[in-house]
Amino acid sequence: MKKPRRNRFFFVLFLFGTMMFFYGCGGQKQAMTQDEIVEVRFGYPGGVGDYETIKNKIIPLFEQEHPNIKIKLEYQPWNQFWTKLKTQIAAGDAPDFWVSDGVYFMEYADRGALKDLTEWVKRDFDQKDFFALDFASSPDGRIWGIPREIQTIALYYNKDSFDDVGLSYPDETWDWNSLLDNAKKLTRDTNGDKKIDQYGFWSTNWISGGWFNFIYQNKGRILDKTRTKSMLDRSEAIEAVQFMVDMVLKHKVSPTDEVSSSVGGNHAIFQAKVVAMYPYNYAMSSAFNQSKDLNYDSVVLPKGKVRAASYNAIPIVINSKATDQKAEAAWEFIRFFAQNETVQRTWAEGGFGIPILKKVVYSKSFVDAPTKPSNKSAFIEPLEEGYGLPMDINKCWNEWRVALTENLSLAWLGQTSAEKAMLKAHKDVQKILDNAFAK
Amino acid sequence: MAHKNTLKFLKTSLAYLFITLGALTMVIPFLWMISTALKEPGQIFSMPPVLIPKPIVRTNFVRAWSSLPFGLFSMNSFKVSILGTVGTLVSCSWAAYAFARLRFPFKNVLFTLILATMMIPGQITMIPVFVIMKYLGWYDTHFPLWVPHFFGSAFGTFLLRQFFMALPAELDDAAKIDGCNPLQIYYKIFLPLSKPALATLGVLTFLSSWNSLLGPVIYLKTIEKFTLMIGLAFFQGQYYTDYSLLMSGSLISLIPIVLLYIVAQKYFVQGIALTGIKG
Amino acid sequence: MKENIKNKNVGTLSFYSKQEILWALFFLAPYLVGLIIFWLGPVIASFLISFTKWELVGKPIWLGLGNYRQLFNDELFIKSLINTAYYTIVSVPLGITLSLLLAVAMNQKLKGIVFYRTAFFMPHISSMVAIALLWGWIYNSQYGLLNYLIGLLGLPPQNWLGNPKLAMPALIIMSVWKGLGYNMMIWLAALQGIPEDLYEAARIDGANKWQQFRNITVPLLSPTTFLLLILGIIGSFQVFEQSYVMTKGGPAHATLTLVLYMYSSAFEWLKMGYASAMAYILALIILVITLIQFKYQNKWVHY
Repeated sequence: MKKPRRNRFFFVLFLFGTMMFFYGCGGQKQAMTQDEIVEVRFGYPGGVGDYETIKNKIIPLFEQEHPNIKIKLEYQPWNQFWTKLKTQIAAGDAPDFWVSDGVYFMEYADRGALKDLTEWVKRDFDQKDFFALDFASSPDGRIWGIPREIQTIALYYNKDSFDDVGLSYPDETWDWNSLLDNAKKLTRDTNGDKKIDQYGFWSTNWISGGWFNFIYQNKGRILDKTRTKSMLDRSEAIEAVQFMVDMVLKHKVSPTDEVSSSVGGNHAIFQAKVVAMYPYNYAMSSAFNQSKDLNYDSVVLPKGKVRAASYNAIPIVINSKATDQKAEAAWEFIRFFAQNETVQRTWAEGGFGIPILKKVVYSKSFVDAPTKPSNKSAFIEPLEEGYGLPMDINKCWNEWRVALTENLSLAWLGQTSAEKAMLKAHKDVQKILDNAFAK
Repeated sequence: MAHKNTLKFLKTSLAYLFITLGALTMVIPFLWMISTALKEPGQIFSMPPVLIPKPIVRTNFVRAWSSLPFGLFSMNSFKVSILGTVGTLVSCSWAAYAFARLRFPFKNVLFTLILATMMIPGQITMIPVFVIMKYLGWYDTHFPLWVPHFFGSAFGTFLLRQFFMALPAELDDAAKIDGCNPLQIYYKIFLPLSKPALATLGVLTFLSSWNSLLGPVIYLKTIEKFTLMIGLAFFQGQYYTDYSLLMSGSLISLIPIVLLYIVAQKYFVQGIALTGIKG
Repeated sequence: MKENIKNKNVGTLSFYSKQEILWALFFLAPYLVGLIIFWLGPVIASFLISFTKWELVGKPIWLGLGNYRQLFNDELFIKSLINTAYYTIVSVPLGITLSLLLAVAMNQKLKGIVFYRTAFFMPHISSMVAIALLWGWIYNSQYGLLNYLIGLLGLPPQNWLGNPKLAMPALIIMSVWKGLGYNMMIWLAALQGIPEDLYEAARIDGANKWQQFRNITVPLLSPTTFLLLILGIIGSFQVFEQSYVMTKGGPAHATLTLVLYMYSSAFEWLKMGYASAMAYILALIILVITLIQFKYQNKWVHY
C-alpha cells in the first residue's frame, strides 16, 4: 500500500532536483540596457556600525548628484571580506572598486590588480586641502587609492589612574624616560591583595601601536626605503625592541602578551583599568565610550630620539580590470566621498576614524566634537607635523609581519634575548622579501 | 537488605553527581554567553570576570536583532539548512545502502574515493568550486549552499553505511524470500530500523549547515540573501568585536538547534527489539 | 568490505549480473553525479595548481615539482606536520574513549536525562568564537579559572596559552571537550542497535556491568568505533578553527597546524600553488593511514 507513494515521492524529489539544476543553469541576469546608467559594484567590508551610514546616507547622496551612476553595494563582514575578495579576483569576478585595508593594498597593487590613480589624483585633487592623499602609494610614487579615513596612533591614558597616585597627566614633553618613570609609579596593587592589579603601560608584541613606533622613534627602520631589504639587524632597531621587552620582563610595568590577549580583545584591559596607558588608534574610542565611567583622554606618543607614529588609512581602490566607463564612475564616487563636505562630516561624526578633508578635521565634526577623548588633536599631529609613517607596506607585508611577530614572541616570553630574536627575524624577513621580489 | 539499598542509593547519587558536574562544565560557555548578553556593554570586561550582571539589561537582544535584517537572515538559514538536511538524508542513505548491501564492481575503489573526498581540505578546492558555481549561474543564489547536499556527502554515507552494515543480513534474506527488490528492502526495512542513525545525521547536517560561514560568504553578494551566521559575523568589526551584540545574537541563533536536538532525542534513543523479524 | 563475497572471482565484470549493476547505479546515481560535477573538476584543477606558482592575481607559472621540493625543506611545514600529528595522536583516542563512556552513561533512563544529553551537546553547537573567548579566560595566566583551581591544589600558576610547551595540550583539552557531544551522539545512536536481550542473557549468566560492557557492547559497537576512528583521524589532521581563532598558530608556532599554515599561505600570503601542494601531501598522508586502517579492520571490526 505504501509502495507507490514512496516511489512517487522519490521520483518527484529527483525531478525537483533536476529542475533546480536546470533552473540554475539558465541565464537569469537581465542585462541593464539603459544607455545612460552605469552600474558599478562596490565591495565593502564592514560591520554593523557603518551599514546604515553608507547605504542610507552616503550612497543616496551620491546618486542624487550623479543620477547616471548606480552603486551596487556588496556589503560583507570585515573579517571574511579578504578571503572572498581573493576568491573573486582569482575567478575573475572582483567588484569594480572596493574598500581595502591600508596594509593590504600593495598585495594587489604590486600584482597588477589595481588601477593606477596618480593622473586622476593630480587632475582632480588639491593636495593642500587633504591629509594622507599619498598614503596608498608605492615607493615609486604611484597612487593606488584614496583614503576613506585615517587611523593614527596616540597614547590613551586613564585619568583616574593618574589622579589616584597624584601624577600629572602625560603631555608632549614626554620621552621614553618619562614614559618608563610614570609607568613604574602607576604599576601597583590597588586592592591590597598583594598582586599587581594595574600596570603602567601596554607594551605588547605588535606593529601598529608597538615596536614600529619605538623603532622609528629611535631612528631605526624595519625595512629600507625601497621596502625590499630588512633593517632589523641595526642596533637602533634592536635597542627599541629591547626597551619594550624590558618594560614587560625587567621593569614589569606592562602585562604580558598572553594576559592581555586572552580576555576578549586587548582593549578590554584599558576599559577594565588594568593598564593606565594604552597606545591605539582613534577608532578604538568608540569601544571605550561604551564604558560610560571610563575617564580617559589622549596625548601624542612620547618621543624617542625623534617623533614617529604609525598611521594607516583605509583606501578605496579601483579594479584594474574594470571597464573605462566603470572605472570613471567609481572614481566619481571616490572623489565625491573625499571632497563632499557633508559626506566627510557624516563619516567623521560616525567615529570611524580621521576624515581626510582638512576643513572637516578642524571642525566640530571631528577635533571639536564633544565626544571623548577631548584631545583629538593628538591623533592629528603626526599628520600635521609629518611624522606619521605608513607601516612599510609592500606586497608581502602580511607574511613578513607575521614572521617578525612570531620571532619576537620568544623575546616577549623571556625565552630569548631581544637581540637574538631580532637577528633571527632579520634573516627570516629577508628570506621572505627575497622570495617575493625575486624576478 | 537495607544495606544493599543504601549502597544502591549511594551509587545512583554519585552517578548523578558526576554527570551533573560534567554537564555543568559543558554548559559554562552558554551561561557565560547569557551573562554577557545581559550586561551593559561597558561591563563585559571587568577583571576578574563577573558572572551575574549588575544591572541586568535586556536591550542587547533587541539591539542585535534590529541592527540588520536578522529576521530575513534567519529565514534564509532555515531554508538552506532544511533543504540541505533533506538532501543529505536522501542521497547518503541511498549510497550507504548500496555500499552496505549491494554487490557491484569497483565497490572498494568507489568507497575509498568517497572517503578521499574528505581528505582534501575544503579551502583548497574553494576557488575552482566557486568557478563552477559561477558557470552554473548560481553565484549570489542559495543553490550552492544546499543543492550539493542532494548529491551526497562522504560523512553521511560513511556513517549510514556503518549502521546499515550492522543490521543483520537475515532481515534482507527474509525480505528477498518474500520477493522484495532492493528498493523495497531499503525503505521497508533499512529506513525504519535506522531512525537513530538518520536522526543523528539529520541533526548534525542541519547544525553544520546552520553554522557554516565561509560558504555563504563566498557565494552571496546581496545582503537580503545572507544567512544568520553572516549576520553575526558583522558584529566582529575591524578593530574590536561588540560582544554584547554578538553574544545576544548567538544565543538567539542557538535556539532552533537546541529545540531540534531535544525533539530528535526521541529518535536516537529508542531501543529496537531486533529479535523476531516484523514482516 | 569483503562480507558480501563468497566467491573468489570478484573483480571481473561478468561476475555481477546486469541487474545488480543497475540497482547499484540507481542508488549511487546522486552521489556519482555529484562527484563528477562538484568534486572531480576542482580536485584536478587544484592538483594542477600545486605544480605552479600562482598568486591569485595573474597567470599561474609552471614550476613542476618546485613547490613539493620546497616543502620538504620548509621548517615551518615540518613543524606544522609534527604539531598536527601530535594533536591527532592525543585527541582522537581520548575523544573517542571519553565520549563512549559518556554515551553509555547517557543511555540510561534516568530522570531528566534529556537535559543532560542536551547539556553535553552544547559545546559542539556553540560557535568557536564564544568557546575561544571562554577558554581564553579559563587559561588566562593571571585571572583564569584553571590556574585558580590548580592553585587550590598548591601548584604554581602556568602560562597555558603563552608557553609553547603548554599551548598545544591546552588546545587539545579544549577540542576534546568541545567534541564530546558530537561523538556521544553517534555512540548513542549505535547503542540503540544492540538488542536488550543480549544483556538479559548475560545478566542471567552472572556477568556484571563491566563484563557486559567489555563482551557485548564494545564488540557490537566496533563498526562505530571504526567510523569514529577514521573520521577522527581525517578530521584531526585537518584541524584549523581552534588554532586560527584561539592562538593563530602561536606562541612561536607551537600550535601551527598544517591546514592553518596552508590557509595562511593561500589566503594571507597569496601562495596558492604552494598551499595546494601542502593540501595534497596532507591528503596523501591521510589516505595512507586510512587505507592501513581498512586493511586491518577485519581483525577487530565485526558487522
